[in-house]
Amino acid sequence: MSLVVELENVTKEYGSGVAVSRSLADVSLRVEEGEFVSIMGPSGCGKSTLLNLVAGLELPSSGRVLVGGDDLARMSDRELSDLRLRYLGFIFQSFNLLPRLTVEQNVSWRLGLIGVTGRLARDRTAALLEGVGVPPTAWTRHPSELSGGEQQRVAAARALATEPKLLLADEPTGNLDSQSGRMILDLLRSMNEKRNMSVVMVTHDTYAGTYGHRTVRLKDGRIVRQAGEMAPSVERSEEGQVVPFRRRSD
Amino acid sequence: MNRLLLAWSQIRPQLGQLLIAVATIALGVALAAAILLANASLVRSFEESIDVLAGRAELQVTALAGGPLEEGLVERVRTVAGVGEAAALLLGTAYLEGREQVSVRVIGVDMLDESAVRLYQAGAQVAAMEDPLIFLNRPDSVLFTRALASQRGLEVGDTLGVELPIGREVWTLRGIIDDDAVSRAFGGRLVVMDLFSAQSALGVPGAATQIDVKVLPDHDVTEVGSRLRESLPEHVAVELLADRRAQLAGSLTAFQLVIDLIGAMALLLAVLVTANRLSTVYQERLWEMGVMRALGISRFKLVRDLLAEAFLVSLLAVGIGLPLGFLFAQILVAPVADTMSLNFKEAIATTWVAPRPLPLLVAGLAGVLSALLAALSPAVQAVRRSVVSVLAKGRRRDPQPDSPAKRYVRLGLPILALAVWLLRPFLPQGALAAVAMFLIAAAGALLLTPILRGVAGPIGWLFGISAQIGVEDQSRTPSRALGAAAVLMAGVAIPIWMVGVTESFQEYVVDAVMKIRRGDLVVESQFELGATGAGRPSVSGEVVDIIARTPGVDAVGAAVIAKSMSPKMGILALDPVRLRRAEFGDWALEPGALPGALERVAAGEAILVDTNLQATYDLEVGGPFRVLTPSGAAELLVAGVIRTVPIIPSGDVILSREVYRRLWRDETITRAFVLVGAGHAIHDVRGRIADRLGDRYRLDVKSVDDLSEWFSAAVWAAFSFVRVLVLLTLVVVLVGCGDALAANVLERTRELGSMRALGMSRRQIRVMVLAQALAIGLAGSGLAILVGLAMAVAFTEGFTPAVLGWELEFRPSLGIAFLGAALGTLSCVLGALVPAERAARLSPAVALRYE
Ligand SMILES: Nc1ncnc2c1ncn2[C@@H]1O[C@H](COP(=O)(O)OP(=O)(O)O)[C@@H](O)[C@H]1O
Ligand SMILES: [Mg+2]
Repeated sequence: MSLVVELENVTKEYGSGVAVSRSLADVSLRVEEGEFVSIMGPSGCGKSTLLNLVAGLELPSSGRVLVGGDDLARMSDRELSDLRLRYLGFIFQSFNLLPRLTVEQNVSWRLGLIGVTGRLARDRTAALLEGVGVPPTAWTRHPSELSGGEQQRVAAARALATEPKLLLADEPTGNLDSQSGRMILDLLRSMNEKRNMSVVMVTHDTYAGTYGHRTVRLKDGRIVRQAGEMAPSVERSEEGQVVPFRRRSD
Repeated sequence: MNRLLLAWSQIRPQLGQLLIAVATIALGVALAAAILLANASLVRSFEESIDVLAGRAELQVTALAGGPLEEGLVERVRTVAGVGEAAALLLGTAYLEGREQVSVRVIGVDMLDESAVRLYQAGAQVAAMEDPLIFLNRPDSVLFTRALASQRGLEVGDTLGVELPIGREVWTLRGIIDDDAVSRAFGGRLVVMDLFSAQSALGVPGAATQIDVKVLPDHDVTEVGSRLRESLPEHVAVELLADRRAQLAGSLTAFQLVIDLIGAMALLLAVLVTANRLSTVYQERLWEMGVMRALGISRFKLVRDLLAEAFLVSLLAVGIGLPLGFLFAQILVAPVADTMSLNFKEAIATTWVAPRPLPLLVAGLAGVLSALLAALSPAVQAVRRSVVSVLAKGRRRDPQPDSPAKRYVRLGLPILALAVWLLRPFLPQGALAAVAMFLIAAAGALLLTPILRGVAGPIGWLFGISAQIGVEDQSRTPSRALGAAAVLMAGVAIPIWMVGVTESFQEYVVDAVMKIRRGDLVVESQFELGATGAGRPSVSGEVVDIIARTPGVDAVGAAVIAKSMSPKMGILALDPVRLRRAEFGDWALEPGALPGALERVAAGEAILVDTNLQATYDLEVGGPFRVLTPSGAAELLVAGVIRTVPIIPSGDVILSREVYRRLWRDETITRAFVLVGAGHAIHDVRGRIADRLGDRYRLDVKSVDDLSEWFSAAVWAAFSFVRVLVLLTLVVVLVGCGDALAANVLERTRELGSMRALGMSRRQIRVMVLAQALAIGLAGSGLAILVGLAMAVAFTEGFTPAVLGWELEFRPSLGIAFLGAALGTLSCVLGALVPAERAARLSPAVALRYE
């Protein structure tokens, strides 16, 4: 088994001088291929910061973040964008669908970015939306006309469109009722199981936390406890081969 | 007051953001104030110059053909019953020598005639005058206006060289006319002489160019006019000055309307830019307003408060705009004066525009109204959103489906505009043109949305997927894009319209005038005689023979330019060779001319009329035209119609000089065109002709190309203010588009963040925003071409006949239209560079947290 994400002594600070505030302090974390990791903790403890660092949306103040074996600090904006496009998928608490595009377009624009257009893009989009359980009648509507649960499923389809190796989800159930929330969680789990896709999910809902193989607890920017069933090969993966990002993309 | 204080505390922190709104409104106000001020002062000086020349007269006697008439007629005029005062006046031109030659109007008044003194004294307060006897006894005596004297740095007793029709002379300044009205009229370039001295200086002994008449108190002016007409010889015309003033006032109003329209357009542009800006500012306060609503403040009160803020903004803008406008007016007045001079064939010059209260008040009010108008729609929109959705969603805007009413309007208005457009020939012109222009502009604005959508496909196809996403996205809630596109459309349509009209004017005038005036050289007097563009003094017909005998001359074609009062028309009398040889001009007649029309005119059997004369007197080709000539009434056969710029607005007849000589008993010519023979250098022949004519005739020999260039340059200069306005509008477009796109980026911060998180690169975000700008640019500019050209056509058809007095053919200059559109699009994309960069540089993590 191989490593998808590796954080080495990562610290993230905002501001400078006396106004400096530390969001993450000396965090180390590894995520294996095929692993489902839940990150839990109270509001403001640095969960979103951690996800943003993994996605290369921000750079750490110190320490290294490796995704697919590559140090994100050494990558250009273009390479980072490509990583986010092909290797990662991102799901947000507030869905962040583009309100002016239709449901279909919200999924297919990412396909367009990887060069899948026309009929092929339409078919793939249809398959994706069906896969996450969005009924065809909703495909030509706009996000504001959908329920929260449906919107999050569209967001999931959008994240899955480019068949990422790693799915990042920042409180995906935070804005949903418990039933819709469960459907999303089931969806994430089935993706994880069927496609061997790694998932890093941030949540502060204890129920949601149980969906992962492993739960990482954060408090005040530090990992306080890791618990739960380890992925089968975590011990052996010290020098684990990574699932390389670049080889796929080139 | 309390409310204003509250409003002030609201906008103070947002003042930086309101800077663009303040600046554009201030600019609009400045432009409007400048236009109104310049206009008011020009109209004053224009009216004054009429009054100065006519004094207190009510009737005016002039030569039917224009030019001089016998001074002695004054005595006959005085014998007519009802005539109170009558005085002869001689008008001409002279050139003052100096570092640059300055042309001045020479006015000859009979200083010994009590009647003249009573008629004109109002206009001429002579201040510093040396001994009046010396003034009268010396033929070199002149009076200058105070303005002219100080401009030339002259004092009473000084002498100066002057070019006159009789040759170079030296004048002595014997007095100064210290009268404001006189100084303003003709920009003060006015010289008064005794009638006798003026006659000899201008080379027309015993002549006057007008006899002004004041009727006795209890007599009817019209009746006295008819009596005069009966008792005077055939070759003079009698005119009611009230008629002339009314006619001029009419054309002035129309001209002012045109300029005012430009000012209104500038304000409209300011309204659009400001509306965009305010909507952004309100957008940022949506949440705050939601809370206020939740706490029980009504929508009405919120709108009222927002309008109070807009009022403050407008006060600020007006405070800056009015002084600026006062400065603008000083710059604007010269080109506008040139344009007016060209239109009314009367020299108008004003150097200093006084700050009049009324124009300033009007411009200020217009500014306040503009700001309120600009605030209204965004304010209503801001408070219309439900409290719940505002509090839940913050400032995001979700697409809202069009209401059916909006859809009908969107469909109906363009159709209505088209209908009015097609009905043009059947409806009254001026008012209709205004309605049509308004409808066209409104329809254009409504067509923006579909067009914005239409360009999405091609742009996506051309610039890739990220461009397509951006444009698609934008076409869904196009409010911002529409704001920008509307600014662009207005900003580009205005230049296309204005430049289109002026280009047409220039091309048409230069073309139409020069088309029938070709050749290698032209010979004419350098002096003018008579009032209001009466033309150049005639030159003895012998000149034609002298030129014809000059070696190297292949052919000479002379022309007489004259005017006739009954019927009112201009006369262009030509040597037959001018009609027979193509090198002298292109006589393309309108369809339906009699066979061999040109030859029949050349042979003296028929005449041509221009389109304006045909319209004025409803003439038919093949039919007769009755004219009154010094040799009695004559019936002339109309052989054909030609489109040209007439000598006077009612139109011209074109006939053979033989016929003119016979009927009008006039042997002189106005101008002669020369063809140089093969193998001779034009320059040499020009020198030879000048030598032969020598000092005796005081004539100018110049190449026809020079004449044509001079003419183009004059027209070009006359419209320079249009180009200044065009430049200003393009700057406003740049700022307006950039501003709208910046607001767009701000509004979509979170979306941009999520797009970055999902794999869009900086470059792609940049491309996306620029593609949005390009879409706005293309949609706005594309419509601007249509709207601008349509407005130009509506304008030339509806307004120019009223302004110019004759019909102007609109020549759509597509080159200019596309250039304008390209510049507009470019401005829009340039304006988008900063917002695009800002969007690309956004930290995705920060953007995702943005609420
Ligand atoms: N751009 C930023 N500037 C300053 N502080 C920030 C910024 N982003 C996050 N923080 C701070 O970092 C801490 C962790 O934030 P976050 O990762 O969003 O927490 P969580 O997602 O666990 O609720 C918070 O205290 C937050 O205020
Ligand atoms: Mg968070």
